[in-house]
Order: sequence, then structure tokens, then C-alpha cells
Amino acid sequence: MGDMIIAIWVGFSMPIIGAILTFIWLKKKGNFIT
Amino acid sequence: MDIFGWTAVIAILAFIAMGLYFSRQATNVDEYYVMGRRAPWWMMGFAVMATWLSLWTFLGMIGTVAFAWGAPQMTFVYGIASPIGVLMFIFLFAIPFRRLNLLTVPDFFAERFGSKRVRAVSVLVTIIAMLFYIMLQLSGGAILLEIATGIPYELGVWIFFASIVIYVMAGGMWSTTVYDSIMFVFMAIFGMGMLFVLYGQVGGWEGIFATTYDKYPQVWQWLGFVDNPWSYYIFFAMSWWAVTSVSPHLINRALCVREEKDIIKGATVGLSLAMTCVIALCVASPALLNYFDVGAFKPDWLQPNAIKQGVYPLWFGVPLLAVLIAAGGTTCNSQLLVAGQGLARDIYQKLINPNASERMVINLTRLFVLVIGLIGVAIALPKPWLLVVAGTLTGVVLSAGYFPVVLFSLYWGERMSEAAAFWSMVISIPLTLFIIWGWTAFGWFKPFPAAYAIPLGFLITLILMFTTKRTEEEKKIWERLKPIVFARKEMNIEAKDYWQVYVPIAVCLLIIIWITFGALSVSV
Repeated sequence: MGDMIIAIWVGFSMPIIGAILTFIWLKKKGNFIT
Repeated sequence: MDIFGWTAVIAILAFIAMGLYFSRQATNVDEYYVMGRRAPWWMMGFAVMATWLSLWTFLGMIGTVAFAWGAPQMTFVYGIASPIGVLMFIFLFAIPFRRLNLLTVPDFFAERFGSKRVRAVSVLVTIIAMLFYIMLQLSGGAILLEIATGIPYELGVWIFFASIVIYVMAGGMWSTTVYDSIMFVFMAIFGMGMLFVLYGQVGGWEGIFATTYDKYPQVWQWLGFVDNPWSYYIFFAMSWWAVTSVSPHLINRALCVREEKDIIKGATVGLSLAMTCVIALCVASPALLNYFDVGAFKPDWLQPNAIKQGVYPLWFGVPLLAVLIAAGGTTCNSQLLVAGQGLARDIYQKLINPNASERMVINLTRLFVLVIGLIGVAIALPKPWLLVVAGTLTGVVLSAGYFPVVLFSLYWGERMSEAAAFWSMVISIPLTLFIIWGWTAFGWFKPFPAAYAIPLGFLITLILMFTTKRTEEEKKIWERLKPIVFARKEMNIEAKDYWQVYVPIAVCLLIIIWITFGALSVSV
């Protein structure tokens, strides 16, 4: 089941990392979030 | 007619009644198009995610996991990698669009460039993209009805069409969004419920993971039963980023909320639930291999056959069928509406007759929704070869022209000119036809046509951006819009409302952890 567990958790963290990076980028740009 | 036939009939009548009930709110153009901008956060978020989860999720994906791709690949690609598209939707596109107080998505192009021709071509691209997807959903719904209830395919297309078109015509955005958000709750419950029920039916994790692994180990391995290269899955996910993030039928939901921060809140909660639902479906689908052999029938037929042949207990199978019908409807209804709005407001009122009354615009929207639906029916009825490429065609046309134009007109506004936006979208139409033609006739653009559409679209748009110049007027427009789009605003959620976000995410995490421990508990 290793492949499945990796798929779930690697994948599950991708949008979370994506969200964090987006937040950081937008904050740096000075948009959206203050 | 058996119990499944009656379920389908009652469900469809109930869906129409529900849609019609909420249509009372749609009294003027503002209400009919954007719900008077008073949709609560959850309604918007749930409606977006209900639209994102289509009939394919509950029908095509189940079979594709069990018979072709295997669970890990699908979990990774569809369940998880493509939600990045939803994040792009929230942060890059939905918030700026809402801030511009638009009524329809083509309004963006008209406002941004002060141009009639860009408005017209954006409506054209929207309609091409939507029409093929509508056709796909109508056909999928009819196949579902045919297998599960025995209703003939042709009649099924008409029933499915009627179940959607009536309330969309009556209530516009009100009916569509309220219907979708309510159905999302059922879709999430029954999507996750499929795992819980099959867990009970096949004897716990042993039955889900171990016995299916003994029978078909491939279903739990990376490449599944197919030998597609890795690039296939990466580009598959990437093209869905493009489609999810700028699809007009998703963005026009974001125009309905009170304030921008509701988009973040609603879509985050909706996305968590939808993701968990998809992961649960990916884990549950291989359990059906306890009952059926790989390749026993077409992948799409696995789920309706499982319902029909009593794999699920009746108390679950019967409502699941209704949820499947709803899943097709939630995607189709907003696509019909967005196409009708484009023709009635953006073409008729804005380009042909600016003096058209509100009543006229609403009635014309209704007429165009009906007409586009009928065209969809006319194409879906003969089950043409086109059906096979319909979903791809939508993906290609949106990734080739629409996506780079919207992206650069917001995030490289100093370079993006009206001429570049117009010609980029114009060129995307023959480009799409060329890609689809080459793909179907000669086997070019393998393995996945949309993978070529994104780089080609970007290349064409960039070339046009660097070879055209903005006029003085365009520069003034962007100077005026830029501070509105990128305004500094407090976007945080109030502390007393934190639980509304954390509780659903915690529930989702618990389910994921439960699945993980289940997978660890079996010895394969």
C-alpha cells in the first residue's frame, strides 16, 4: 500500500504548500492580505 | 420500472421543484445574473466545488481507477494535484474579478480593454467550451439512466435536459447556485459514504486493500493497468489547472458573494470537502473489483452496474443514483447559464441593442439557455465520435486562448494589449480545431492534447504581446483598474468564525488519517 499512502500524503500536502506559497507571494507583492 | 427507475423520476422531479422554488428570488437582472451579490460564503464555495465535481467524478473516475489508472495515480492527479487549479482560481482570478463588480465574465474583457470585439470573441470561446461540455454531461447522464433504470438513451438525454433547463431558465443564478450548494452536501456525504459503505460490505480494510491486491496488484501500484508516461499525468493535471482556474462557469459564481474574503473562506472549505470526497472515492473504487473483473464492461458502466446489481445496500444505492444524476446537473446548469448570459447580455444588450430592457435581457437569457441546451441535445442524441473528444476540446480551447489572456491581462497588464487579447483568442479557435484534428486523425499531440495547448497558447499570446502596443486609452484604463484589482484590504476571517473553516478541515484530515492507518494495517 506504500504507493497509495505516498499518493495521498504527498498529494494532500501539495495544495497546502501551494496555498502557503501563494500567501507569501501575494503578501510580498502587497496585494490582498495585509 | 423498478425502484431505480422510480428513484430517477422522483429525484428529477424533486430537483426541478427545488430549482423552481428558489427562482422566485430572480426578479431583476442583478438577481438573475449574480444573486444580487448576496450569496453567503458557504453557498458560493459549495456551488463552485459542486460544479467542479462533475458526473465524471462519480461515474468515469470510478471505472478509470478500478479498470485502468489504478488508485494512487488518480488520487495524485485528479483528487489532489488539480485542486491547485482551485487555489489559482481563488487567489489569481476570482478575487480580482469580484473586485471589478462585473455582471458576467465577458464584462471583464470589455472593461479591461474597453473593447467590443474582445467581448464578442470571449463570448464565442466561452460558448464553444461550454457547448461541448454540456453535450458530454447530457450524454453521460443518459448513459447512467440507461444502465441503472433501463430508460432508453434518447429519452434519457431529453429527461436529463429537462431536469436542468427548466429551473435554469426560471431562476438563473439563484436556482443554479442554491441547487448546486445543496447538492454539494449530498455529493460530499455520498462520495465519502461510498467508502464507508463498501468498507462494511467487503469486510473492512482487508476487503478493500488486501483481497483486491491479491486479485489485481496493479490497481494499488503507481502506473495501474496502463503504461502511460509520467508526463501524461503531469500535463493532465496542468491542463485542469487552466480549466479550473479561469472557467467562466466557475468564476461567475465568485461574482455573487458579498465580499472577496468570502471567496477564500467558501472555496477553502468546499475544496477540503471535495478533495476528501475524491480521495475517498479513489480508495473505494478498487473495492468494486471484489464484485467485477477488470474490463468486464466499459469503465463508465462500472458505477451504474454496481448500483443496479446491488453491490450497495438498497438504502445507499437508491439515493446514490439520485446524487449521480445531481452531479451531472450541477456542472451542466452553470454552463448553460453562462452561455445564455454571454449571448443575451454581452452580445445582444451590449453590442446590438443597448436600450434593451431588463425584462428583455432576462427573457433572452432564458431563450438562449433553451437554445444552447437544445443544440447540446441535438449533438448528444446520435452519440457521435465527437463525444470522445468533447471534454478534451473544452480543455484545449480554454487552455490555448482564454487562460493566457486572462492571466496576462491581470498579471502583466503593462504588456497586454487589446490587439493581443483579441487575436490570441481568435487564433485559439483554429488552433483547437487543428490540435483535435491532428489528435483524432493522425495520432499527433500524444499523449494528451491539452498538454500542447498550454505552451502553444502561451507562446502565441506572448508573441502577440511583444509585437503589439497598447494605445493611450488602454494605458489609462489599466491605470484606473489596477488599484481596484490589487487593493490592499483586510482579508482575514474574524476569530469567532474560525471554527467554520477549521471544523470541516479537521473532519477531512481525520478521514485521511483513518484511510492511512487502514492502508498501513493490511500486510501487502
